[in-house]
Amino acid sequence: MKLYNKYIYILMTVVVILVSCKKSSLDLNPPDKLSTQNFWKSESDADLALTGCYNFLYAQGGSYSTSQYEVVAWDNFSDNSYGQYNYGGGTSALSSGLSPGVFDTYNLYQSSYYVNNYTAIASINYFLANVDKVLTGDKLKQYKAEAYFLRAFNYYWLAILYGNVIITTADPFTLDYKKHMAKSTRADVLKQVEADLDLAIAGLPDVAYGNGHAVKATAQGYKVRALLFEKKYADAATLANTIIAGGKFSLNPSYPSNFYKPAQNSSPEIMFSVKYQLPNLSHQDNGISVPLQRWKGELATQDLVNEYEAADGKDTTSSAVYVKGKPFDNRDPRMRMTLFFPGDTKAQGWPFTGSYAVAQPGKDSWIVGYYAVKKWLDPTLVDPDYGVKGDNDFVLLRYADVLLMYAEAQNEAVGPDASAYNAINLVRKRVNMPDLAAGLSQAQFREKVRHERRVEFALEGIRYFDLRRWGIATQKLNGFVQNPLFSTVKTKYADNYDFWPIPQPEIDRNSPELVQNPGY
Amino acid sequence: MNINLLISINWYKIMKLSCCQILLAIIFAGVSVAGTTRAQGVLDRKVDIAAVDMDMKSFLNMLSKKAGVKFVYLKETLSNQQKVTTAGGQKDLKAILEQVFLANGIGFELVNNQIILTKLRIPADTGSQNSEDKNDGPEIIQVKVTGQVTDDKGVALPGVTIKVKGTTVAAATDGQGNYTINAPDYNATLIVSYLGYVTREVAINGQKVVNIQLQEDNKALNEVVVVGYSTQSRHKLTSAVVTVSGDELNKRVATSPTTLLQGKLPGLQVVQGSGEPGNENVQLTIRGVGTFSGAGSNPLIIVDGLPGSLDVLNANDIESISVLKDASSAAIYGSRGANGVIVVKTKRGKAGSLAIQYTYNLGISKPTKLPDIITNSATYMQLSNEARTNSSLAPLYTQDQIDLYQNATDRVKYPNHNWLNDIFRTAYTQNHYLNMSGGKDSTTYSVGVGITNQPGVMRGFDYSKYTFSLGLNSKLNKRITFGSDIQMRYGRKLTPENGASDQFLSALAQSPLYPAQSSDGRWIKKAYSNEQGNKNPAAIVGEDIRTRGNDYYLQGNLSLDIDLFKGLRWENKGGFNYGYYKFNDFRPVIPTYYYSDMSPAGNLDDGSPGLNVGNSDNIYTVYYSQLTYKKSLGLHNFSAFAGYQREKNNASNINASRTQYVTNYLRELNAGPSDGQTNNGTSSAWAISSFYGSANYDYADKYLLGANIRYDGTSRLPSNSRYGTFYSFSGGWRISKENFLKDVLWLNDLKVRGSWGQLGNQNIGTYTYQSTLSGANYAFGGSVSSGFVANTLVDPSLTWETTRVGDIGLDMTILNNKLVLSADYFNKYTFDILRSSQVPFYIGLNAPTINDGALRNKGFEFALQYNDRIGRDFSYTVGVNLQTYKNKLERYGSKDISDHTIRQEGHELDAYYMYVWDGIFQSQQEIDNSPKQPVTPTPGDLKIKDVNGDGKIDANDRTYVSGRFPSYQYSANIGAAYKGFDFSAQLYGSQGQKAYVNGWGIEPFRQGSVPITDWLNRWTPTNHTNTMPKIYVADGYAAVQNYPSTYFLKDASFVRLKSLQLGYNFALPVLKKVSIKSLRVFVAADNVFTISKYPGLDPERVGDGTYVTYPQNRTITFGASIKL
Repeated sequence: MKLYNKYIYILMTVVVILVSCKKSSLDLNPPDKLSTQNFWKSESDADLALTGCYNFLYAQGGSYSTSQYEVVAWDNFSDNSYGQYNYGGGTSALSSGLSPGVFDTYNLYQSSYYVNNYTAIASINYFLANVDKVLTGDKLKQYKAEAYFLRAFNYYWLAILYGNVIITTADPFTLDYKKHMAKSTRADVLKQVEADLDLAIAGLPDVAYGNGHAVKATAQGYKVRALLFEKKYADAATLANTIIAGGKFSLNPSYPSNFYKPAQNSSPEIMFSVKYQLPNLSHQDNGISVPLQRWKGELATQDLVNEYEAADGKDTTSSAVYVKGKPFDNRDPRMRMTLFFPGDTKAQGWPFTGSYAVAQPGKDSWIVGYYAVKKWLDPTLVDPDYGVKGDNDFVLLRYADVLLMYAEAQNEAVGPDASAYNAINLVRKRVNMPDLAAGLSQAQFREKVRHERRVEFALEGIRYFDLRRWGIATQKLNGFVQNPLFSTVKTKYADNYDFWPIPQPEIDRNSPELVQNPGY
Repeated sequence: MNINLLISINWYKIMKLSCCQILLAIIFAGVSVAGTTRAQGVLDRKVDIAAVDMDMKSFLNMLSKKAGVKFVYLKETLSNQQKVTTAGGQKDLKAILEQVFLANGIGFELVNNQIILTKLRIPADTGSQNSEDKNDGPEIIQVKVTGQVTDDKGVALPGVTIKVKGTTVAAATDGQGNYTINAPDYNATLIVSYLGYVTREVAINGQKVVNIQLQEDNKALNEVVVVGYSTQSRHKLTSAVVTVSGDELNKRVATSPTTLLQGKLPGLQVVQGSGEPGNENVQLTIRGVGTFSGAGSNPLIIVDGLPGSLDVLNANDIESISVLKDASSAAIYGSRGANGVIVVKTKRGKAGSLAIQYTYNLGISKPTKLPDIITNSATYMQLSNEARTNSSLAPLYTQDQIDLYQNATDRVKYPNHNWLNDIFRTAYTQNHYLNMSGGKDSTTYSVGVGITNQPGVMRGFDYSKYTFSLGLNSKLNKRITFGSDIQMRYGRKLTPENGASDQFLSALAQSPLYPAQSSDGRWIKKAYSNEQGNKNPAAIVGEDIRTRGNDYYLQGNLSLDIDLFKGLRWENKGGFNYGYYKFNDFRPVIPTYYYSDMSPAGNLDDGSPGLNVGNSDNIYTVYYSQLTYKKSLGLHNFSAFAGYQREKNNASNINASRTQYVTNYLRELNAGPSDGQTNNGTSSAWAISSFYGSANYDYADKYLLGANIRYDGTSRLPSNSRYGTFYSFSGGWRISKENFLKDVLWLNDLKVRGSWGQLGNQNIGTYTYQSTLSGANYAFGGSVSSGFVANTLVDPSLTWETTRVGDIGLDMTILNNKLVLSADYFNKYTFDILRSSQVPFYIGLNAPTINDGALRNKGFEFALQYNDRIGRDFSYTVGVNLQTYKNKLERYGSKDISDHTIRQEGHELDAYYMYVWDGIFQSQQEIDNSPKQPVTPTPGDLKIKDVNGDGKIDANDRTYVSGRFPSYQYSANIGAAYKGFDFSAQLYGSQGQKAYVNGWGIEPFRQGSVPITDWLNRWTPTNHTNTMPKIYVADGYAAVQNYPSTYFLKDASFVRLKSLQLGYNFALPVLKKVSIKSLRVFVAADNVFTISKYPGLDPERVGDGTYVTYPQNRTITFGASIKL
C-alpha cells in the first residue's frame, strides 16, 4: 500500500503540472505560411510580393481548366473557331447568349473572369500600399511601375469585357467589405487604365522584353490598345510610332517561332506573354498540344479559312494561282502555319504517326467541316497524348500587333499614308505575301487592316475584341452558323453583349448601389 | 491446514439442551457478538470459485481456503450426497453461500468471522422460525417440485435462486439448470430470480415438474448507461440518451459498424451513401443539420471515454453505444458537443475462466438496383439519331450502320453489349472474428481479432480490414484500478483511379456497339470515331489502374482510477489515436482502338500518366484527470465530478510524383525519371484545453436534478475570444414513485424530464483567424520565382458557434416491464454560425470566416418496445421508433441562390428552389396558349409553370419546393425466439425527402450515355405522353435543361426491409462433452427489398447530384458462431 501511495503522489504532481501548463500552448501558427505581420520587413519581400502580382496570369477561366489568358480559347467567342468542349466558355456564350449567369453553370466563366481580375487588383493594390516600406529610389519606382502596368492590364480586361465596373485602388485590407459600391463608366475605367499606364511607362526600363517582366514598350503597347478602344486614333498612332521608332522590337522572320518553346524565348517580336517553365510550371490540365491537336478541343471554322488570301494576295475568286479543287494550296502561308488540312502528313508538320499518320477529318474527334489547329504546336512533338505537358508562353502582345494597330490608327486619323502602308506590308512581307495594292481608300484600307488582323492573329484571342471595338460584333456573330454541317444552330449576339453582365452575386451584394448593365 | 479451520464436533448434547442454536454457537466459540458491521464485510468478500458436481465437504474446504473463513457445522447438517455446482467468476461470498446452501436447505449465519451452518426447518408461517415452541414440533409435510430454468433461448441457467413465496425455503439450480425444492403444498408459488434477468413468480399449480424460462432484463431500469465521463443508472437519467447494445447492433451483419446504427437509435439519422467497401460514406446527423458552417454537423465520437473513431472498430468488439442528444448530456463535451455525442464502449471481459468465441460469416452481395438501360445497339443508334435531330445536331449513325447491327448474325462484330455486366459482379465477403475473454483474480481482459475481406460489387474495388482490440481491467489493490483499451486497424483498399462514380458514369457513357476488349485483348475506345463517350472502365480495372491505399490506425488509452476515500474517486485517463495512410496511384499508358476498324484511338484516358504517391499521418493525444464524489445522506443522493482535459492534434502529409515512365510495370518513384518530379507536404496542429464539471442530485430516487459545465479554450480561435463556457441544467420527476401511483400495478415506471443548455462548435480550419500569405509563383526568365499574395480577410474577433438545446422527455415502463416507451421533444437553436461572409467580388479577397447566422431544428422522437412470451418456449419482441424534425434558417443575410437551392431566412436550409415542371407540350396550339417560355419550345418539350401568373416564365417563377429534409424517419423491429431458433427483422424507412438528380443515366446521351428503357415511352409525334419528353442529347436541349425544374427532382422516400436474420442454437449434449458452450448458425439478409417511387436506382443516398452512385448491396450472409 505504501508503494502505491508513492505512485499516487507522483501522479498527482504530474497532473498538477499538466493542468497548470501555460495557456500559450493554444497559440498555434500555420507552419507553412508566412504571417502578414511578418511581411514587408526586407527588400526581398518586395520581390516576393511582385511575383505574386504576376501569378494571376495563370488564373483559371470558367468551368474548364484553361487559363483566362490561354488566349487561343478566346477565339471560341468569335467566328474563328468552334470549341467543341466549350473551352473558355465561348461556345455556350454564342449558343445560349449572355445572362447574369448565377443559375446557369455553363456561364460560370463570366463570373470567374470578373473575380480573377479583382483578385489580381487586390494583390496589386496591397503591393502598392506597402512596397515603400522596404524599397526606395529607382528600384521603388520601377517596381511600382510594374505594379501600375499590371493594374492597368486588369482594369483593361474589365473594361473590354464588362465595361462599367467598380474602381478600387486602395489597400484591400483597409476596405470595408460591408460597404456597397456603385460602378464607374467604361470611360472612367479606361481613364484609370491610361493613368496607370502613364505611371508605368514613366518607370519601366526601356529595354527589350524577355524574362516576363513588363518593360516600357509593354505598357506603351497596352496603351495603344486602350487608345484604339477609345477611338483616340491620333494618340494611338503617335504612341505606336514611338514604339516602332524605339527599335527595341522587330518581326520574327519565322512566324510560327512566336508560338512554341524554345524558339519563342528569343523572339524579338514578343512584347508581353504569360511565361511557363517545365517541369514545374506547365500549363494547366493537359497543356495545349493535347487538347488542341489530339482532342481537337478547338477547331477553326470554314469562315476563317475563307478569309485567307491566295498566295498572290488576291481573294480565291480572283486569284491567278488558286486552283479550284485544291483549296488548301497556294494560299497565304499563314494558313498552313495556323491550321491542318485533310491529307496532311509529317511533311506538313502533322504530329501523329502510325495509322493516324495522315490527317483525316471525322477521325479522332475531328469534326468534318472544321480545321484542326497547328498554331501553338511544338513541331518536334510526336503523338501528343495524355501526360504531354506544355510550357509554351501564351503571347499577349506581339510587335506585329503594334504595326497593325499603327496602320489602323494612322488610317483612321489621317488616312492610308505611306507609313500606314509600310506597317501593314512589313507584316505581310514577313510571310512572303505581296504588298497591298496602292491607292486604297480609307475605307478599303480599313477593310485590309481588319482582314490582316484576322489572319495574322487567328487563334490568338484578338478577333472577339476587335469585332466588339469595331462595332461589328452583332453583324458578324449573330446568326452565324458555327458549324457548317448544322445549319439550324445559329449563334446569338446582341449589341448589349458589348458589355457583359456583371455577375449576379456582385449585384446582390452591392444592392442597390450597383446596378446591372443594360439589357440583362 | 484448511481442515483445521473446519471445526466439526458432535452437537447432539448441545441440541438436547434445547437452546437457541445461534446462542449456543456463540457460547461455544466463546466470543461475544460485537462489531457486526465489520464482520458483515466477510460476506461481501469477492470469491471466484467454480465447481461441478463436487461433494459438499470438498467444496467447503476449497471455499474456506479461497475466502479465508472458518465454517462451523454439525456433522448431520452436511451429507456427501449433496453435490455442489457453481459457475466461476467474481461473486460475493454471500451470494455463493445463498446459492449453494440455501438450495440444500442449509442456513448460514456469520458470527465473529466464522460461518455457522445449520439445517433449516420448514416453518409453518413466516417470522415464527425463532419461536422456541415450534422448534420441537413435527415437520410439516412437504411436496417436492423439480424442473429446469432456462433463458429465453433455451440455454440452461445454473445458480438461479428459487424461493417459495412467503417462506424462507430456497434452492438453486445446478450446472444443468435443474432444481429441486420442497414446497409446503401444491398451491405454493415460486419466486425465481437471477441477476440480469426479470424475476418471475410461478405458481406450482399441482405440478411436480415446473420448467421455468427467464427473460433477460435488457431494459432494466437499473441498467448502467455510459454517458459523458461517467455512468448513470437509467432511472436516474434526466437527459435525452439512447443506447444500443453490441448484441443488438450485431444482429445485422456489416463490415462498417457505423452502418449498423441505422434505425437503432431514435434521434440519430444514419444515411449510407454508398455500398463501396471501406468507403460507405455514412452521414450521421443527430437531431437535424445544425449548421451551414464549415464546422459541420458531425457528432463527436467518444470511444472508451476519449475522442476516437467508430469506423476503426470491428462491430463485434462493441459492448454498447449511447447517443447523447440533448444539451444536458452533451454539455460536458462543451465546444465539441453541439452536434451531439456518440459514446462507444468496447468489450472489457468478465471474470471467469477463458471464454472463446469465434464467428465466421460469408456474405454474398449484389447491387440493390441498377439502371435499366437500353442494350440493343440498333435501338440505341436510332434513339441517338432521333435525340441529336431533336437537339439540332447531325445524326451520328447512317442507316447502313444501323442495319449492320439490326440484321447482324455475327454478334461478336456487332454486339448488343451491356456494359453494366463489365463493371458489376456478385461479391463474396468473408468475416472472421475471434474473441477471447476472461479474468483471474482481479484482472479481466477481452481480446478480439477480426479479419474482413470485402470485394465490392463494382469490379475493381477491394477492401481488406484487419482489426485487433484489447480491453484490460485490473484491480491493483483495494483502491486502485488500472485499465486499458487498444484498437488497431489495418485496412487495404484498392480503388479504380477516379473512384466509383467515375467508373459507373464511364460505363454508362459507352454505347452497346462494342465490347470492352477485342478478342485479341486490345481495349476498345468506341465503335466509330465520331461517337461520344468516356474512358473504358473495364480497361481501368483490367490494367489495374487502381489506387492502393493502406490505412493504419491505432487508438488506445490507459486509465488509472483511485478510490481516495469512501465516495471520492480520482480518475485519470490518457489516450491517443494515430492514423497513417499511404497511397500509390500509378497511371500507365494504354493504347485504345476503334472497334469498327481496329484503328488506334489514342491512349486510355486515365489522367496524366505517371506515379503519384503520398502519405499522411495524424496523431491525436488527450488526457483528463477528474475527481468524482458520491454521497448519500438518508434519501438525499448526491454525486459530482470535475476535471481537466487537454487535447492536441498534429497532422502532416507528404506527396511526390514522377511522370514519363518508360514502362507500365514499375510502379515506384525510383523507376521513373527525375525530370519533372514534384513533391509537396505540410503539417498543421490544433489544441483544446478544458475544465469541466457535473453535479447530480436526487431525493429518494424521485426528484432528480443535474447540471454540467465546461470551460474550453481552443487554438482555432484568437486568444482573446478562444475561451467559452458551456453549460446545461436538467431535472426529472419519477411520478411512478409518488404515493398516489403506488397502487397502479400496471405502471412500473414513469418519468418526465427536461433539460436546457448551451453547447459550442469550433471545428473550423486550424488557422482561420490568422492573416497569412499564400504562395503564388511565377516563371520569370526560365526559372520559377517564389512569390506570395495576401488574399484572405480574417475576423480578429472570431468566436464560438453556439447551439442551445431544450428538451422535454418522457420515459415509461408498463405492463410488468413488458412495454417500454420513450418520447422526446426538442428545440435546437444554433447561432453565431461560423460561416464565410458574403464579401463583394470587387474586394478581391477571400471572405473571412465570421460569426453570423442562425438555424433552428425542432423535432420529436419516439420509441416503443414490447417484449412478451406465449407459452413456455416462444418469446417475442416488437419495437418501433420514429423521428421527425423541422429545419428553419432564421438569420442569414441576403439570400444566396444556387443552381437548384436557396438559402433564405424563413425557409429550410438550402431549400429546393426551382421551376415547376407542368407536363409536356402536346401541340403547337398548347404552346401558343401557354405562358411564354424562356426558350422557344416545340411539342414534346417540358412545360414550365407560370407560378406568379404574369404570362411569362422568368426567374420570378422559381419557387420553394419541399423535400430537402425527410418529413419523418422510422424503423420497426421484430424479434422472436422458439426453443433453439431465433429470428429478427428490421424495417427502415424515410419519408418525404427528395433528391435533385441529373447527369448520366437520367439525361440521355450525356457523353453518349445509354438511355434508360423509360425513354422507349418518350414523347413522339405519334406517342403523346405526359411523363417523358422528347428524347434529346444532354447539354443540347435548352427546353429541358436550361432551368432547374422539378423534372429532375425525384421523390426519394422509401421503406426497406433492412435486415432479416434467422439463427439456431444447438443444444446437443455432445457439445457439452467437448466443452463447447454454445454453437449457433445463422443466415441473414441485408437490404432485402425496398419500396420506393424513386426511379431506377437506390433511393438511399447522400444529397443531390449525379444520378448514379455506387449502389447499396443486397447481401445474404451465412454464418456460424461458436463459444468455448
